[in-house]
Formats: sequence, C-alpha cells, structure tokens
Amino acid sequence: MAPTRKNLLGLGAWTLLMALTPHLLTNDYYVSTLIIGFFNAIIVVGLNMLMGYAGQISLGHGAFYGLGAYVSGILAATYGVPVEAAGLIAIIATGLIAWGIGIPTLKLSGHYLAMATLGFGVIVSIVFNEAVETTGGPSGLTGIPRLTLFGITMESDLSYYYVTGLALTLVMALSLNLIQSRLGRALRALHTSERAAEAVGVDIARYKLFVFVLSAVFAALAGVLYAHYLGFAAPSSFGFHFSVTLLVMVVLGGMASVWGAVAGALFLTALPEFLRAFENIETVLFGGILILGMMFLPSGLAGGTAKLTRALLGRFRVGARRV
Amino acid sequence: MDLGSLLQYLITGVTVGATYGLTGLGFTIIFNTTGIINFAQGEFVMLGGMLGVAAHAAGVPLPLAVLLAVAAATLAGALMERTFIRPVAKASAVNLIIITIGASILIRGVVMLIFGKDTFALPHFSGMEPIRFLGAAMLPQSLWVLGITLLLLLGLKSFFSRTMWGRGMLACSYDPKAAALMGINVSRMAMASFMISAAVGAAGGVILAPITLTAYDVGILLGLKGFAACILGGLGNPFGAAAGGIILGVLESFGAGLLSSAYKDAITFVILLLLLFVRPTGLFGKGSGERV
Amino acid sequence: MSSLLAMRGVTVRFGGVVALAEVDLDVALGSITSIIGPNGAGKTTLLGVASGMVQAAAGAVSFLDRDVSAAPAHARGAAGMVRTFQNLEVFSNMTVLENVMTGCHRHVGYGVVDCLLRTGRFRREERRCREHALKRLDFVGLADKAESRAGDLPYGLQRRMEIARAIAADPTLLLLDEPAAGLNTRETQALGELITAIRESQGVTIVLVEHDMDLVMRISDAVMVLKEGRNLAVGPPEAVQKDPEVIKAYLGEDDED
Repeated sequence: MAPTRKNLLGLGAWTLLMALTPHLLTNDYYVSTLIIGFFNAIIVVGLNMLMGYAGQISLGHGAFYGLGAYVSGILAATYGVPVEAAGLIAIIATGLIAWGIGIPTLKLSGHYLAMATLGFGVIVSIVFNEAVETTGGPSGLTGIPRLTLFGITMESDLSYYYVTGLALTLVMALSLNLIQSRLGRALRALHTSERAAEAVGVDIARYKLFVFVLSAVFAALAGVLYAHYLGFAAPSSFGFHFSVTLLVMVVLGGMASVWGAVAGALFLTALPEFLRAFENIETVLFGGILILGMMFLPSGLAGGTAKLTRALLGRFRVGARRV
Repeated sequence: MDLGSLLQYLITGVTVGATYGLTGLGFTIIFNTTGIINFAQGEFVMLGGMLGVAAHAAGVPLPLAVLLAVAAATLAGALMERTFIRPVAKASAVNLIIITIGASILIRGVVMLIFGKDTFALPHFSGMEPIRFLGAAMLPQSLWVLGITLLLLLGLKSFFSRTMWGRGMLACSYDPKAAALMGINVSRMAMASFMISAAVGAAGGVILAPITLTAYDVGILLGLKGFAACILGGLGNPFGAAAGGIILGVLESFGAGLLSSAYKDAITFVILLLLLFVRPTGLFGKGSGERV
Repeated sequence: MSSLLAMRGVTVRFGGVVALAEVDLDVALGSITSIIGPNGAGKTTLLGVASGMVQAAAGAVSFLDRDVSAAPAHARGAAGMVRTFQNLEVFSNMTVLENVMTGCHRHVGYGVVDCLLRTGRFRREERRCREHALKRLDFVGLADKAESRAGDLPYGLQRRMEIARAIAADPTLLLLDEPAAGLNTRETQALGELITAIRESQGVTIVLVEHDMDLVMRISDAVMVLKEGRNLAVGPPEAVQKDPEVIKAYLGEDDED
C-alpha cells in the first residue's frame, strides 16, 4: 500500500491527529462521540464514492449499516459465533445483498434511483422491526459481545477508539487510491456522461455496481464495529432518517472529497452533542445550521476550506511580492 | 374473504391514498416549476393537520379552522421559498435537496417546540356515524376526503390549462430561460409553486387529521409516501402522482388486511420496487425514447 | 478480409417515424469513409447503431468480421470501435489529462486489487497510461493544457480534446460525429489535417459524419450519401459529387451551406 505522496502526507497528518486527540480531550464522553463519528465517517467515505464520484444517489445506506450490525450481532449473540468470524460473515453477506439489489436498482437513475434505494432501506428497516424473534424487534437486539481481535477484547473505549480510527484510516487510504486510478476515472467519467464513458469501453453497469457494493461493504464494516461497541442494535438507528443524515453528511462535507466526507461525518455527529445544551431548540438549530451551511458553503466543508486556503495563500503571495 | 371486507379495504385504501396523492401532487407542482424535490412536502401536510387542531382548540369554528390552517401553511410555503430557496436558486439539485431537508427539520422542530410531542385529533367534519352498504362501513369523513381531493384535482387541472399563471408555471418547467424571455417572472412562479404545493399538502393533512390523528412528526412518513406516489405515477405527471397515491393507499390497505399488518409498508415498497424494475420511469412517466 | 465495419439492412424506428430503412454501409480497413446527407437523413443515428447506442429494429452490424449486433456499446468500445459526439460529451469535472487517460481505459492492464493497494504493476501501468495520454494530447496540440479543467477549455479545444480521448484508446475504428460543428474555417482546415494525420500515423480507420462538404471531399476515400434514412449513393468523392441523384438531393435542400 503506497498512496501518492500528497495523500500519504495527508494520511500521516490525519493519523497523528487521530492518535493524539484522546489525550487532549478532558472528557471520556467525547471519545465515545468520536468513535460514533468514525463509524459514520467510514460509511460516508463509501457513500461519497458512490454519490460524489460516480453520481449515483442512495437513500438506503442506513440499511447496509444495519445489516452489518444485525447479522454480526445475531451471529455472535444468538449463535455464539466468534466475533471476528461473525463480523467477516456480516460484511460479506451485506456485500452480496448489495450486489443482488444493485443489479436491478442501478438501472434506474436520478429520482427513481433515490426512490428505489429509499424503498429498499424502508423494507430492511421494517424487517428489523418486525422479525422480533430474530432481531429483538423495536426494542432492539441485546447482549452483543464486545469486539475481539486476535484474542484481545477491546474493553476500554480508548482501545476501541484506536481500532475504529485505524479502520477509518484504512478505508480512507483505499478510497484515495481508488479515485486516482482507472476505476476512479471511470466512475467520474460515467458521472458526467454515461455515453462518452461507454464509447471508450467503460462497462458502466459494472462500475456502478462495483462502487455500490464497495460502499455497502464499508457501511457493513461500520455496522459491525457499531454492534460490538454498543453491545446493542435497535432498528431506529438504521432507518430512513439515518440514511438521510448520511446524505446530508456527504453533501455538507463536500461531494467528491474523501477528506470532506470525514469532516462532514464528524461535524454532523458532534453537532447534536453540542446542541444538546440548548434542549428544546436543538432540532430547530440543527435544521437551521443545515440550511445555512448549504446556502453559504455550497461545495461543503471541503470546498469551503479549499477556497479559504486559496484565498489565504493568494494574500500571502501578494504580500510577499510587495515586500 | 367476503365482499364486505374487500370493499372495506378498498374504501380505507382510497381514503388514505387520496392524501398520499395530494402529497405527491405537491411534490410534482414544485418539481415541475423549479426542478426541486421538496423534502419538506410532508411537513406541509403535517402543518395542515396541526394548525387545524390548534385553531380549533383556540375556539375557531371548524370550517374556518380548516381554511385558516391551509392559509397559514400556504404562507409557510411562501416564506420557505423566499428565505431558503430564492437566495440560492442557482444551487445544484442535491444542495437544494439538503436545504429542503434542513427546512423540514426546522419546521418539525418549531412545531414540536410550540405543540409538544403529543398526538392530537381534529373533530370529524360531519359526525362519526358510519354509512353502511354491502357489508362495509364508511366514515362520512372519507367522503369529505375523496370529495375535496377530487375538487382540488379538477381545480388544479383547470388552473394549469386555463389560467395565465398556470400556463406560466408549466412554461417554467419546460424551459425556464425561454419562459423568462417570454416575460414570465420565473422566480414569482417558483414562489407560487411552493404556495400551491403547501396549500394542497395542508388541505390533504387537515382533511385526513380526523381519521388518522396528527402529531409533529407525521410529516416524515407522509412525505415518504407522497414521494413514492409521484415516482410510482411517473415524476412530473400530476395525475400520475394522484393515481400513484391512490394505488399506494389501496395496496397498503389490502396488504394489511390480507397478508400482514406489520409488513404492510414492506409489501407496498416491494411492489413499488418491482414496478420500477419493469418500468423505470413509473406507470405514467415518459418513456426514454431519447435520440442519440 | 472484407470490410472492417459492415452494416446490413439497418432499420431504426423512433416511435412511428422510420429514421433508417434498410441501410447498408461498408467501411474498408484503413479508409476514411464519410457519411453525408441533408439534415435529418439519419447520419448520426447510423453512427449510433454502429456504436451500439441506438437500438436497431432490424439489420446486422459486423466489426472485425465478428457479428456485434447484440454487443452493448461498451463492449464495442472495448473491442476498438470508439466514437466522438456531435454535442460534446466532455468529462467536465476532470482535468484534460484525466479525460484523455480515461480514453486509455481499454488497454490499462491492472485490476481492482492493484488499484486499491497501488501495487508495482499499478504504478507501472499508470505511468505508461499517463505518458500515452500526454503523447495523444501533444498529437492534437493540447499538451500545454493537460492540467486545465476540461470544462474550462474553449469549445474548439474541447473538440480536440475529445478526439485525443478517442485516439488514446488506440482504436481500430474511429467514428467521428460532426467534428467540425461549431468550428471556424481555420479550425476546420486544421481538423482535416488532424484526421488525415490520425489515419497516416496510427493506421486508424475513420468514419466521418460531417456537413462540411469541403472537408469531406478533401479527405475521404469513400463517401456514402443518406437521404431520408435510405442509401442514396456510395463511391469515391468525385463520383458521388457528380451523381445526379445526389445533386438533386442537395439542390432540393436550401438550408444547407
């Protein structure tokens, strides 16, 4: 694994920041918020590949997150499968489901694709709710064992933080690699013109399916980590509402930017925690921030930061020239 | 399964479906004029019901309360377009979707702040004595729902085909630039589309509120069903949306009655998905006879 | 070997309208074959059928002596039949170089795992692809624009970039759909030279759909005339120019230049 020099630098800085952060935080609660933020970031990096790069919308990714969590949780809690195996099976199973769903669904485009993925998400969510004997129904699946890797159980939040952070870093590195390749170019190409992509030999159906399955696999990975962290999975965490939140994270973070995806996920995970202090008006504030964010940062946090950097650098250069 | 129960499912389905259809119609009107999928459409429906309840609770006579609710929601639609949509009219489609999602959260938050999280009921417009025939029973309110839905549909049809405003809005949907060149005020049309959508949605919400009760968060599910209705009918076709809503309602009602009430929504969505796989642009959508 | 591309009895209907009726086309290996005809004659549609983007109601297409009638568009692209578009289809969100590198798609030899892990093979192939793309950009005279955003290029240069993208695929057959549309006289002149150069230096067979008669007559080996979706005439440019049917078809058309 060897990302480009620029990406390597970025990933290095990110890893350092990620590693140091828990030691700078005064409250353990923040660590657990960050862990949840990392789960979301893993999903959003994948979803951004699908939406930001390949231009295919999904309003059903909460379902893949849920499938990862439930399949792994049920295997481990109900059937006593070792956690590592349960997680792996869950990720593969979710990938296969995404593959099966993706074949007919990705033939649709635009709002029809949005509807179909939304419908899939709703169906899965209903199954989580109603298959009470398997899933525990609306009150949730309990007794999911903590994550164990190579015989070591990740008991402390700090160890879990590092495992999740590492998983996120890996997902980011893979995604960055993918974008600057034949595959990444094919995805971006079919985003703007499917016909022109086909004309140079890009099998667009296959590439759409590939990125759809990849993003589902990332979501399932996050789901597995989630289930074995909280020890609990409830349908409400994976429903339509969460799928929409993921979409918002992608767009507010910045379409077609891996860094933006991470920023968007962490920002929108932390925001409600900060707003909790405002009690009753937290929902109103959340909605308002979304609207204002989109109105004033149309290309998201990533685009806004890039613009700001350019402006600062520009000023710096002008200043330097004057001197 | 006797005829009476079947008829009963049909009545229930059509009644609920009418509201889905009105919600879908709201989506279609805004989409046709501005190209935006308004995720806050369900909140307009919720506003209709909640504001109706509030006005009635404040002592306003029922018919007036209904009208007041629709008028207030219309105002909310105008306000939303003015403050959130117009300043960023040139934003990309997905950005506008996020803005409407933000608006829906905002509206829901405000309503929750004012009215709390309780469920409310609006009195039936003309009593609760069911009308019985052929072994089925029908609430008078169902007749109100169907009648008002039908009136709204006919009214909108003549509005879009006969009036200058209606035609102007249609022109915007075909080609906003050309419409602007023809002297049509595109941004005023956009505001009108939000107002009409809000009015139609709120009307649907307030007439259904006596049957299904209402709360600050009913808009989420109604919005979802409304979106499904207009996709099922073929996005951009107002009568497709209305028909789609009724089909959806009937499917749901029969699914609940004949198969499983727990899985009724799942059944509906499975059918919707299968249908989309066969007809990728909905039942009455334009085929993709695109020329290369 | 017979023709590189052979189309037999191609019929296309759009709704009730017959766009093409039993059209035949033969493109000899190494030739520049032009398709001309009045507006609405079905030229672009014929190109669409050849490239697999328009569904024919009847007829057969064979390419490299293989029947490709049922092959999807991307498979024909991958087999070496690459086209450009009348209305530019530029990947506007990518740089010029990335656009052209996308053209290399069919001959970049690494898989998903190589991409994800950036293996040695990935880097070797990626370097080769990059150099190849730069060469093609240089060939069309756009080397200095490699890092510009494709959407920012002026129209004429976007046309050139699209050609660079197509020839980056190292096609056997290149289908050009009205490449001179929107270009001025000088640009059209240069385009003619470019098309000839592509054939000479890379041995690519070319099919050209074009309105500009000067361009067509100057560079074509064979010209096929379509009228109202039917074959009207076919032959060397001089012969076609003298064909009374063709003259009649064109004189009857007054919106042509």
